[in-house]
Amino acid sequence: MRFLLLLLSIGPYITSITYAQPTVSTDVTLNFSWQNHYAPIEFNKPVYSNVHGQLYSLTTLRYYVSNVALHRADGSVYQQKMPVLIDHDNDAMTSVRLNSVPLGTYTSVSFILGVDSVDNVSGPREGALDPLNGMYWTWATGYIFFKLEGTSAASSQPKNIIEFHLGGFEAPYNNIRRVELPLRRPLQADGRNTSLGIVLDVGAFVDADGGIDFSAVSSVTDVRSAGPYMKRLQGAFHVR
Amino acid sequence: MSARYAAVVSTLFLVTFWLVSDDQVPQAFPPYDYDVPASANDSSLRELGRYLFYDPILSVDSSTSCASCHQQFSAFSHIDHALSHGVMGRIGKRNVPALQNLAWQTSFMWDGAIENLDMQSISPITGHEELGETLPNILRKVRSSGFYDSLFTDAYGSDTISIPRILSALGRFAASLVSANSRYDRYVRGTDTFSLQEVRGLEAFRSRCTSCHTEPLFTNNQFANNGLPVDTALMDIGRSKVSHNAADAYTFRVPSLRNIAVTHPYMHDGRYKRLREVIAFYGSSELHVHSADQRIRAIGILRDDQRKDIIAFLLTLTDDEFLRAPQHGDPFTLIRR
Repeated sequence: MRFLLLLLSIGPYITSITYAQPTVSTDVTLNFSWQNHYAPIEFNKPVYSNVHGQLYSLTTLRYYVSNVALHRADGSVYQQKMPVLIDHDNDAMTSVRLNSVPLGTYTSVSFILGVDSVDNVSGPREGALDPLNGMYWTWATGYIFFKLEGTSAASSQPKNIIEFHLGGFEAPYNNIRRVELPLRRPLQADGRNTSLGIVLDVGAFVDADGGIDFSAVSSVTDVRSAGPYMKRLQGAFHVR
Repeated sequence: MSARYAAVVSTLFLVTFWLVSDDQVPQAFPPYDYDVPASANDSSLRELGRYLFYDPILSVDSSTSCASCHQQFSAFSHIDHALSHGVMGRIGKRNVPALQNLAWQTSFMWDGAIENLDMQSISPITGHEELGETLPNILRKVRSSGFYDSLFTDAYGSDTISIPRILSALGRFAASLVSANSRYDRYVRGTDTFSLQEVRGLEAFRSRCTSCHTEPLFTNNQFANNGLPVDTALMDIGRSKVSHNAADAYTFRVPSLRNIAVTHPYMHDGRYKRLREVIAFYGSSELHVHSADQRIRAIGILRDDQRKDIIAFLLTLTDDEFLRAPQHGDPFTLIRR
């Protein structure tokens, strides 16, 4: 058994040395960035206005993307299930690296917003799912899929905070949402490492469907209310 | 030669039994519902969890440990405290539950909000009315204590200290708290006897209580409205708060009755100090007006002698070995001496 494992593990190196096979895959990096209605946005300092004319600023923007997939026109799919935490306040946590993507032409990218149900009920995990990241509900089972925090004078909360902690993986409040974005300029995986830019437009999240009125809704932190906001979020991504 | 051989073998057997005894599924228990982390040294992991369980550095002012409210002599409940007591004199809304046979429990807390034992401790550690601490602070304190490096190495093979490792160790210790050697257990196994009153109590119990307090764990792992009048100061709506389902209003976890003699006060809000008050409540007509679960309405009126018999039986659920097991006790007492 050990011999077999050894053979299996060194096998690829032997073949690559012997035959110097051509590259059959490449690495693709998805870079996540954020905007406000196509304009740059920053934490804390600038103040933005929603459609209701309410000024707000942001302090936290973090979310999970899982099951990141690249789709070819013929329907074949490359997928990486592992959840990745995107944190726009930490430059080291704004990308998803897809390893060994088979060569080819990819016409769309998809991912789920959140963490799938198995990961929600599994025990403590290192890395993206480490509860230390502040993305695990403390009083219940499951991960917070999306966390947006900031302030708005329109909010009646203490210190005028606005907070959207969205999650929920169990019926009837399964709020895991899938995003699929077509690539107008298809991604060519041709052996050279390449990248793709995905943008979360916070303005689109805040102002969709008539817009969030921060004087009426300033704190959404339970799975029962999260559904409509996850739907807004689902529509707030685009390819750069 | 053969005598020495026998001695060695029996010593080995005893040592082995001691090492793995917590993992053995007791006779008549269903299969374990807990996964021991595969990559860890199990006995060292349990020991690490035990130190953390008894260490007050897990609280915001390093004053209070898990064991402050989960005391071994009361089956890891908080005797004489109706509601949980946290740091800085903060009082919670519910009674501290006993910790026992958690490896067979499918969800945790009175409302079942948490579905994974290893993740459970996040709630009391960060709860404002419990230990009131943050995960980043705990990580910093455990790392800088200097005390834990070798314990993490023993348990995990490296001295990396992380929140998932802390949580898994606490969960592993909690899962090792197995109570399965009460007089009741020995009676069922045929190695102990019951008095006539205890036998009558067991029969009465089996005819009226086991649809929820199912043997051998004495819980069916479900939730029920036991018909208690709502405490208007606490206004605790029970499981519906986490399930957002109106049908779960005022339902709470069916607690195990093991070691019940030492886990007073009783009920989710600790409103009854004595077992006889609990039995009087279940055996009276009072609860029929509070939309109690159908199974509870079916109990009917219990006569005085039946109440006494049932209490006599419940007292046989005390597991003295569990309440005194050295491997569950405070590991710091040896260091402090």
